[in-house]
This record gives sequence, C-alpha cells and structure tokens, in this order.
Amino acid sequence: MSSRSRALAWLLVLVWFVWILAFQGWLARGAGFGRLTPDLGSVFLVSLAGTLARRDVLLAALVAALARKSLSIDPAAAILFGMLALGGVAHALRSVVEIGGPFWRTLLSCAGAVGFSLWLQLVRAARHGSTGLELEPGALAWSAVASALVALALGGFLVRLPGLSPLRRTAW
Amino acid sequence: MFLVLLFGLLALSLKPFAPLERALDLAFVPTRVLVELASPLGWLRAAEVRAAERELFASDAAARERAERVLAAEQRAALPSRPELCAGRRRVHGEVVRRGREGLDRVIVRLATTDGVEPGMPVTAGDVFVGRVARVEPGAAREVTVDLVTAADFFVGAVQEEPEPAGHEPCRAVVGGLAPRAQGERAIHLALHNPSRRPALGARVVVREPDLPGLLEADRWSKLADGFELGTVAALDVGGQSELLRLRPRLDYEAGLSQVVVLAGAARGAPAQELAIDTFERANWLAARALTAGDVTAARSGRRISAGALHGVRAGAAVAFGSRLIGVVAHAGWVASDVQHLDDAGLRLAALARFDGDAPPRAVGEIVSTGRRRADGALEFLWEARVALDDLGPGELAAELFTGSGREGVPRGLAIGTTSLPRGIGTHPIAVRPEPGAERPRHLAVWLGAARAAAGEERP
Repeated sequence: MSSRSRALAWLLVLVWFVWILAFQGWLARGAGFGRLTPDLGSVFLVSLAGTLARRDVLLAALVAALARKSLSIDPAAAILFGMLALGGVAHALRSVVEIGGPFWRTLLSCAGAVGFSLWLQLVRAARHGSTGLELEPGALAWSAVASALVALALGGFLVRLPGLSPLRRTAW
Repeated sequence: MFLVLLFGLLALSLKPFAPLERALDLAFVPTRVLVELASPLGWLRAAEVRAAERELFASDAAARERAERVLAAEQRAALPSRPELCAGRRRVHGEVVRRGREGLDRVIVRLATTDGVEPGMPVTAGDVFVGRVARVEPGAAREVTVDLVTAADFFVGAVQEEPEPAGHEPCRAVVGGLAPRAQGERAIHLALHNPSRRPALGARVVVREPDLPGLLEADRWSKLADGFELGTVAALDVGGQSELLRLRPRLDYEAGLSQVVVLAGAARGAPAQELAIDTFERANWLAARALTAGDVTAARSGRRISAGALHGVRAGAAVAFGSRLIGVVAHAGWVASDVQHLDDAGLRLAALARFDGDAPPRAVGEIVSTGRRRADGALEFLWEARVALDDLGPGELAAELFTGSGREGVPRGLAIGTTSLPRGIGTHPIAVRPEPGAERPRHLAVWLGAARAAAGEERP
C-alpha cells in the first residue's frame, strides 16, 4: 500500500469526521433532537478503532479531535484529551477483545459518549464555575442510548465509508 | 509518553495556562479551513438567516437610538442630583471597566479626562459615595484605580443626617469595610465604627470628614465628599441582647457599579465632563462571519467566528449584530474564535435595566445564564440582587435589559431583551425575551474598543 494512498485515506477520514460531526450538530439544533442527539463523533472513532491497524488508533483520535474542534466551542485541550482518552482505551482494549464487533463497539460508544459529555461539563465547571451548569442525567442517558443504537446499527457501515479501505486492517 | 501527554492535557483543560493554550491553538489553526467543509449544511437555512438579518437590520436604527437614550440617561443619573453636592466641585464622569487585580475592593475606571485628577479625590455615583482615586494609570486609556469604601483598610468620616432631634449633637462615626453577615445572608453591609452615640435605625448616614487643621496631602480632597450618602442604619441581631449596627448601602458594590463621577477639585459653574458614548462607533468593531450555526452538542450554545487574535479579537469581547448582543468571545484562537451565545449556561453579563416610566436606568449587577426555556424560547438567567428595587414601585418591574459596564470587552448599551425583575434582595431566576431571530445572523461584529484602549491607541 503506497504512502500516498494512505495519506489520501487519512485526509478522507478527516473529511468524514467533519461531515459526521456537522450532521450531529444539525441533528442537535436543526432537527430538534436537542440533548437526545447521539454522539456520532465518538461512535465513528470507536468504529474506526475496531477496524484500523492498532498503531493507527491514536492517530484517528487526533484526527477526530481536529475535526471536533472545527465545529465546537469547547476548549481544544479538553477535546484533545477526551478523544485521546477514548482512543487510548480503545487501543488498550484491542489487545483483549474484538472491539470491532457489535457488542463491544456498542458498549464502548455508549461509555465514550457519556464519559466525553461528563468530561466537557467538568471542564466548564472548572473554568467558569458551576453556576447555571446542571447535569441532566435523563438527557445524558438518552444520548448514551442513542449513541449505542447508532453504533449497533450503523457502526459497521461507517467504517465502510468511501476512501477508508487503505486503512482497514486485513488480518487480526 | 502517551500518559504524560494525557496528564498534561488534563491539567491544561482544568487549569488553563495561557502560553500553552496559545501553542495548542497553533496546532488547531487548520480547523479554520476544516470548518468550511461543513458549510453546505448552512446553506439549508440560508434563506431563514437572511430574512432574520433583514428584519433585525430594519429595526436596528430605532434600537440603537433607544440604547443611546438609555446610556445618556444613565450618565445623567451618575451625576449628583442635589445642587449642594454639585456646588464648588469639578465633576469628571467615568465608567467602571473592570475589577482591579488586587481584589473586589478595587475597580478600574475609564474617565472622560484624567487632567487634574489626583489620588485621594472622592468618587461617587449619583448622590452616593463610592470610594477614592488610588492612582492614575499611565497611558492613553484615561484609566484610574479606585479604592472602594468596602475595603477593609478604607475609612471615611460620617454623620447621621436624619432624623435628628432638635438640640442634639449629630451622631458621628467612621465608616469603611464590610460588616459581618448573618449566616446565609447574601446582601452586603458597610461597617460602622465608633459611633458617638447610638444612631437611629433607618437613618441616613452621609460623609462628613472632620475639619482637622493641617490635613495630610493625601487627604486634602476629602472634604469634597461631604454630604454624599453612605447608607441607612440597620441592626444585626447577634444573640442575647446584643446587636451590631451597620449600614445598608444603596449600591451593589460587588457587581452593580457602572457609571461614576470623580470629584476633581474645586470649580465654579463648570459643567460635568462626560464620557463620550462610543458603543456604536464603527471603528470600535470588527466585522466577522459566523463559521458554524451552533455547537456540535446541544449542551453548548455558541458558534465559531472568522476572526481571531491576529485580527485583534480578545477573550471576553462582545459579539453583536447592530445594537443586539449575540454573545461573548469565550476563547480567541489565532484566526478564529469561539463565541458563547446568551443561552450558553454559565455566561456572565453585567446588566443595565431600563424600567417603564420615568425612573433612570439602573445597573442591576450580574446575571448568569442557565440556558433557554424550551416552551417559549426565553433566555433563563440567575440574577443576584444585592440591593432592593423598593423605590421603583410595587410588584415585579417590567424592564428592558442592556449590557452594563464593568466587564472588560463588553461595551454598555447592547440590547439583551425584556424581562420582569423582582424587587427584593436574593437570587432570582429571571426569563429574558430576546428579539426574535437575534441569534441567527451570520454577519456579526466583534468589539475591539477595550483592546485598543489597553494598547494605548486613541479612539477616533
């Protein structure tokens, strides 16, 4: 596999991340899903982590952070930490379980969505004080369920998006 | 190595360190281009956005004029109302621009002029005593540091003004610093020291500096403050038969200071020198474009804009469409910035309220956003009222909210919305109705005025 095709594939990963996150933003506001919106960014990262070569998982997390910061007002450091932490967990789990399978992909996406949301809330409270910030466990739970459902139903499809095949591993 | 990086990011996320954040911003500069990839989604709502912009623009001239009238009325209200408080005093008008770095008891005030202004000169708001000039800041920003009467080491001579039984010596005392609070009490009171006798509860106490021969050089302006109000006498029950006498101030010194006047020496018949209202001067604003329609999650409300630190944008700067406040810059990257909308929970603003009727506008202190009400789209804020609005009539008060002074980067007079304010002291949830469609415009303006002033540039 040429380095040029890999570079192009990574560029397409970045573009897909931006579009998927932009669609997530549209679901949250334009389509009125609000707090029930699934965290498509985490779902895509977990799905990719199950199919990329192990050494590429953290690079995918970096790309996910770059794409997310493009569309988010949360601090860059917090987004980068969240995505790298999720990527790191996926990287570590890869040596133990098959995270590309439906069960683990769903579980990890659900946990990633909840963890990332709680993490960003914690960062806001630490930076600006907790006045006005209230955790909504109900909305968080629904968002986690929505993320899990999307991971279960579409996770396999997401990793087959056009242009990503040069990055997919061919053997366990 | 990976764990060290994670730990570093964890620390940086929770405790921002400016130089490292700037370096990280450099790594995220490509996001300015990446965000354009998502622009096709924005085209779906382009017609709606253009219609909202046209509608807001059509009513903007009238809104701007109304805001300028409110600001002019607020400035007039900052001047002493009683003729005896104006007589023989040169009055220099100023605006509180931020808190001092040393703590809550110091504020930085931008004056109409610093010519002839010296340390020790009294500072007032309306007929109320605020503090004294501590130092005149160097540079062209015309700023002075003011020590507030709430500081623990601040003392001013005082006298009970009324009611005074005939033939009685007026009760004299020293006022300065904060009095102890009852458990759970939110309102602040000024400490009353060494009263010559027990003052009447509810009596008004005004400044009366002693006539001492050979006043210190630093105190030679102190007599200019005579007659300005400090507060009314109140008692705090401290158990048993004991009570603590203290003063209930008419001002919210923590968040409600807005327009002030420096009494700058003696002058006869000269008009007050007023600060120009420069909120709507075009040169103080930078045009910017919204890069996103909102955040990727519903937990945040904000957007990224096409101007950053390289264009002069600073964190805390107001973002507006015409005379309407859209939000505040939460973080300025190199070439793009993150803007918090008014319904982004945790956003803090200093508010100025214009009430129905003849009452002058009043700085009501800080409001903190808690989000948006789903039912009717009203913005929800928490308002901590430290001073009652009892003098403005019974019941809830219909008010139009504007940005007030005291937050660096946010000029006064930008429209926030309409609301009803409770009159009592306490923390109140309030619902503010913004202009319909006010959060939709893509063509925005970012306030640069404060940054220019800090850089010592003269405004046009």
